[in-house]
Amino acid sequence: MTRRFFLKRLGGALLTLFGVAVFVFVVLRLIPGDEITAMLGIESGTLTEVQRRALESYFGLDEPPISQFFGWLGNVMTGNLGYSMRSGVSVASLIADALPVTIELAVLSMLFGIVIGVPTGIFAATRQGKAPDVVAQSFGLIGLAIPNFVIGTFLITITASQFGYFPNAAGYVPPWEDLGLNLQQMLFPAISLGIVLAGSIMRTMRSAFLEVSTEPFVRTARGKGLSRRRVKWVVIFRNASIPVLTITGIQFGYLLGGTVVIEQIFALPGLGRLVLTAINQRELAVVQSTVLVIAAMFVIINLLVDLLYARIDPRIEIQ
Amino acid sequence: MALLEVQDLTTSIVRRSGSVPIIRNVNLNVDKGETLGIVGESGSGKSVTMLSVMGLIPSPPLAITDGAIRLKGRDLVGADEKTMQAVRGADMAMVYQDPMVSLNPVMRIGRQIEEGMTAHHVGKNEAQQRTLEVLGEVGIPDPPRVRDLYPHELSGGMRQRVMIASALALSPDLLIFDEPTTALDVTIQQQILYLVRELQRSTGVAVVWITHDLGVLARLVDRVAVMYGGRVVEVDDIEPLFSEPRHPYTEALMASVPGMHDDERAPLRQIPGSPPDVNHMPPGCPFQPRCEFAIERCTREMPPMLSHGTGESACWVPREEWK
Repeated sequence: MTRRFFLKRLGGALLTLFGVAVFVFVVLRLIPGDEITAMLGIESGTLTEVQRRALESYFGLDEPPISQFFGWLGNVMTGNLGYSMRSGVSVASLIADALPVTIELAVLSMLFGIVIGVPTGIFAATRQGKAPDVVAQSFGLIGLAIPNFVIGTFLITITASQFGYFPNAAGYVPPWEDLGLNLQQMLFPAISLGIVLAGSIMRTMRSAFLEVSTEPFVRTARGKGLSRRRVKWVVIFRNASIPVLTITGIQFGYLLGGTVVIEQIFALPGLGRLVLTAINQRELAVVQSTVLVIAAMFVIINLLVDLLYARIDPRIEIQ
Repeated sequence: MALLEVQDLTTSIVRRSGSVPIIRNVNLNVDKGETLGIVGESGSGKSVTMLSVMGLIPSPPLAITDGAIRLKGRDLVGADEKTMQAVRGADMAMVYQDPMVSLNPVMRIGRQIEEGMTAHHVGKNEAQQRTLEVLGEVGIPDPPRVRDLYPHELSGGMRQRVMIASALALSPDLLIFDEPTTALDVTIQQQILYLVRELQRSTGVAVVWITHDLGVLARLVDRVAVMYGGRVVEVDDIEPLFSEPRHPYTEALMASVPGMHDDERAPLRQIPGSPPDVNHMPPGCPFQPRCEFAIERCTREMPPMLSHGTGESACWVPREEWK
């Protein structure tokens, strides 16, 4: 891995983040309503000129947008993400509360997707066209086609109404307080998200495996007298894992952005819910900084995937 | 006993609807230390023949449906995977057409050569030692450096040398080259040819060289098998084959190679028509629709291989009667 490769990717990542910052800032200013109307509602219309000026200067709205933007960005750089206007809690601590929930959910969903998707993909590929392949592919397609909230709702309906089992009802419990209960609370949402992932991972794994199998270098490997097992795992699997890594990385990035609907269904206080609530309450500071943090995570994950790529596929650096 | 005996080999595309032979009743012998050329147009079955020998035909849909392949007396048709694994790489090894795609892109050169040896129970240290040795033998400069490179960091010619080094690693008795220079520059072609000839002289390994280029054969091989439409139509030593071919196809093939002293205004000679499609093989001799000497019998019966002096050929019309 060359230094240049790393620096180039890092530069690209920072540029992306800056673009996201500009975008979020502009969009939030385009939405009708500012902090003052959000706080006071229709009563904001009754404010006197002096009161309004005082509030505007309190929120910094009297400054030109450019200096508002760089003021915000400067604060973010120094670690100050702003404050929630209603609760007075810092955005940093809101994120610190929500992030572990989202990360845990993302990791568990990802694990579910990989553990199910990779072996079934290979299993299907090595039985191409036969019954197990058709069955596996159909399940993959079903997994992809059903929206995750349908799976989530379905799981809740069955277990909660038929068996009275709904561990999420009591409110979210962090893993360090009660790991057992926490995992129970995470199980269904992770499955709901993981099934979709498993579907796409399985299909990508299968097609990549089949494609690599016909490459001439696989024949070379067999021609050297390597065992079938070695050809399958060392030669084919390693080459076929490259596209799987790509989609896994992208999906993981999305998951870290918070999964609004699933978090809503299972009452998990993750990033998705944080942003959704903040948008409803016009908490501009919260939305702005949280979205930037989400984007940063997405970019970091992609950067890591790129670096991992270069480790698996030596050709990446050249291109 | 010949090193490699291929007897009445038929390899077919096997489908539920029936099987279509793509090579038919192929007979070949390669003696210890001998160099055999297999020549023919694309689709004539030369690669399939040697891939069948290696047990590397894509299966399904291909399968050996008849005949025998004996390497050092051991029958390989119907041998189990374990046996084939033991034979591949150790007793015979193959160098393929396109070195750009025949090496594993995510594995270092050295590891690729070593893995062939460790698969045959060579110790790790010994394999590493031998890797440097063979890389040197095929004329790669600075083997310790090249060993740690990835395929994409090498030129086509260097990659083909690596393929040859890998094939040499376990000192097999038979090396099969499947158009190894087709994808390379002419100057590199010459170098590879020269290299193989030197290796052949120094190690005494038997070589089968598949090509569509008669010019290459003249400088390399002892004997030539000419294939057409999935059959061997003529086998002979290189000298008599070039001076007095016994099959009209061989004759036509040689006439179509432009010579240095041809009249430059004369049209290039080519064989009229196109090679037959495996699904629509003409009755009788496969070459008969394109043959200028064909007689009625050619369209009915496949001529048998008949011996004459140093070789054999399959044609109803003797050379003396060609006009």
